[in-house]
Amino acid sequence: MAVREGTFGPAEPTALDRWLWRGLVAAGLLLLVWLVARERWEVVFASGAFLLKSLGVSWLLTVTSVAIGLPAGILLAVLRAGGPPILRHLAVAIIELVRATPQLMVIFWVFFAVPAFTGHKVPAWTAAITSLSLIAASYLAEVVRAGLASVPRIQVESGLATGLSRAQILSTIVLPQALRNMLPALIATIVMMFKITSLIYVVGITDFFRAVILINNREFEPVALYTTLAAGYFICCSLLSWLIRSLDPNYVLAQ
Amino acid sequence: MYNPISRRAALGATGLIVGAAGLSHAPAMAQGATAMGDTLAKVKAAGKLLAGVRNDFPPMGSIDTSGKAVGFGPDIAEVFAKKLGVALEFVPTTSRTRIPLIQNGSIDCEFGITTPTVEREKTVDFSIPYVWDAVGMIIKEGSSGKVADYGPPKKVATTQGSYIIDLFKQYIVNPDIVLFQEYPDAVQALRNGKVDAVGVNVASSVAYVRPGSGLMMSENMVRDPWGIMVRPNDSNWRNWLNYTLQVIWKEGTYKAIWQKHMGAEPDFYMYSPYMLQPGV
Amino acid sequence: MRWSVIWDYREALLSGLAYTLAITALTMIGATLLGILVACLHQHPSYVVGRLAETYVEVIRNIPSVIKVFFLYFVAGLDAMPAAVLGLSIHQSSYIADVLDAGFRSVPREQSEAAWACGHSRLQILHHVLLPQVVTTVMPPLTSQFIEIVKNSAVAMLLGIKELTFQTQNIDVETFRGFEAATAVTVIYLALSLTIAGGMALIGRQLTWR
Repeated sequence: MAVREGTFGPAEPTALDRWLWRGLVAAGLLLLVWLVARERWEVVFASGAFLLKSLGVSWLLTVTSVAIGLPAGILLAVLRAGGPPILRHLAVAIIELVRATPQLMVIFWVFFAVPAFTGHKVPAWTAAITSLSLIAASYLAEVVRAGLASVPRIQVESGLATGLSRAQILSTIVLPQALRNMLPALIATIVMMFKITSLIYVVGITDFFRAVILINNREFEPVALYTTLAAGYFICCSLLSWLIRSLDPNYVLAQ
Repeated sequence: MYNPISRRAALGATGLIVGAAGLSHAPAMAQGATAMGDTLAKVKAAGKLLAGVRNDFPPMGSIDTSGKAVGFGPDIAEVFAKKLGVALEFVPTTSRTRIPLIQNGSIDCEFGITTPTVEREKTVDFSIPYVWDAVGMIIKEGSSGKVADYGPPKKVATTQGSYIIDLFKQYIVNPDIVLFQEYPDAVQALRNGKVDAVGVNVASSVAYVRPGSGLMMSENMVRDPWGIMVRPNDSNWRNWLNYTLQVIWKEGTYKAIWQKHMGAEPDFYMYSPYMLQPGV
Repeated sequence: MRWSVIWDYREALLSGLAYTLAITALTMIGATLLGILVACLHQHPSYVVGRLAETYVEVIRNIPSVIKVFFLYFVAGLDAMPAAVLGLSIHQSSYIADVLDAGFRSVPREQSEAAWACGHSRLQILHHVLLPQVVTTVMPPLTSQFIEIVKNSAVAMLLGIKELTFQTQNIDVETFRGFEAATAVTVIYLALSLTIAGGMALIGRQLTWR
């Protein structure tokens, strides 16, 4: 086994190490399969199409809310860093208020409270995407803020010295570097959004989590269903992390 | 450099005060009907009935393997839509969202499992009872079947917000009630010995009290009526619902649907078996 | 809007707050200890142990906390509070381990190699050289993790524990005063988050002064 005495810290793996690891993984998976083999898996397979459809709903909501939330979050972060005072305070207010409120409440407010003011009913999907984008934007704004702060100020000053406008500096120098620096936090936030979409059942949309609970209410087969839930979430979250990580070729190389 | 803590506190407080002040001026949710007008006219004009149904409570309302709404509630809703001559759209409701959904107009009526109580009547209205179910307890095979035996140290369970909580307090002295969010969780707790009984509606107990499950039903506590929930002060709509309920009872449609989902004839009368009473 | 309902339910809200505080405090301790353990294991010279730690973080992080809590309560048979605290600790420990990993990476490798060359054992290096620096570096992300624990403690409600979110939901189901209940939830959780952020800032200042 690779335990080199000469240095401190993790050592290079030997072939024995690798095979030991693969053996462990295989043993672990076999144990898992053995533990759950005796459950009524027909229940899961019979509703397979429904589960996949609801999984698609979860993905759709995550992708849409992040697609809207990321630009909105960048805008909020930029306004907060250096905009006119009124907009700056507004941005701070939105970010802090939405982050402090429990996410279920945000969805509740958008779907139930807004109609009370305006008298118009908000369709379920509109409310879902609006509230999720709002949540995504506030959390991402904080991530972007950390990313913007991580770019050395000397680059901004050099840019100003060479005569670039603030907008040009932002878009060509600061943002690309900031986005790369904040990739881990970005991944964590987007995976968190995937889990937050499970709250959307209150507006009547069935996502993956809710689908499992509904099937359990009908069939009462918790072990098989919750194992499916765990597996589904594990695969999707890992996939999501991998997808975002692969967007930056430099990051992959640096690993 | 600003102090992040006091800034956040100030923001939070400001936001909440503004929000609270704003909400005090929001139109009272209970006036939904007058704001939305006569639901019967609205449904006919829109050509669509928005029916609230449960999708987590078989056999009253659940989903089939493809996710479509099935159950007693959806079937009754279909009959009503046909009588109105309009299209039908199902909106899933939960115990938590059913009242906000009817208040904000997402549904025109709810074919769910809502028992009319004094507290609920303050914010919504109900039709005549459209289902008479019973409430009992799921217990382990071989346990005592009498409800009064389940005082402390025994624990009884049900879901949060259920009318069964009040029933427990009525039928058991000083009950030790454990509240879960979903019935399967409560039944699983029963199977693991965490609680000694689960209060459920008899209609839904079939999913759990299967032969070989080691569970059985106790005696019934009380008959539990469910009404179709509608917005308050909406007499036209409510009267039409009441009247149509009696019509489909007389026609035999109701009994057929009941038989299909519950496996037996209904053991109650919707109203007097001889005369239709228009207003009720 | 009848704000007096919040006053009517003050005892229930206080009892719920007590439960939430208990769960949060215990989870903070448990998750931090577990997280430090896993992060140290990740630095272990053995390849297998290191990969085990990585897998722990990946798997535990990507599975919803509900499942861990349910597993401990329904399958492993623990009581409600121990199941909730242990499940949440395990869940949050994966995030904390990740945060600590980043902290470990930020300490220059030369320091540990120099200490190793001086003859210190691995445990001594961890204790005297690495951990003090890592802990001070990761205070800000650790604060965010602790605030996440406060919000995630609502999961205990699924096991029947009558904590704060449960009690505010109770106001809603018993009186249908949804907005008042929602505001109450927001205010109390905001206060909790601010207290934790303040407390952590104080601790951070104490540590850096040494």
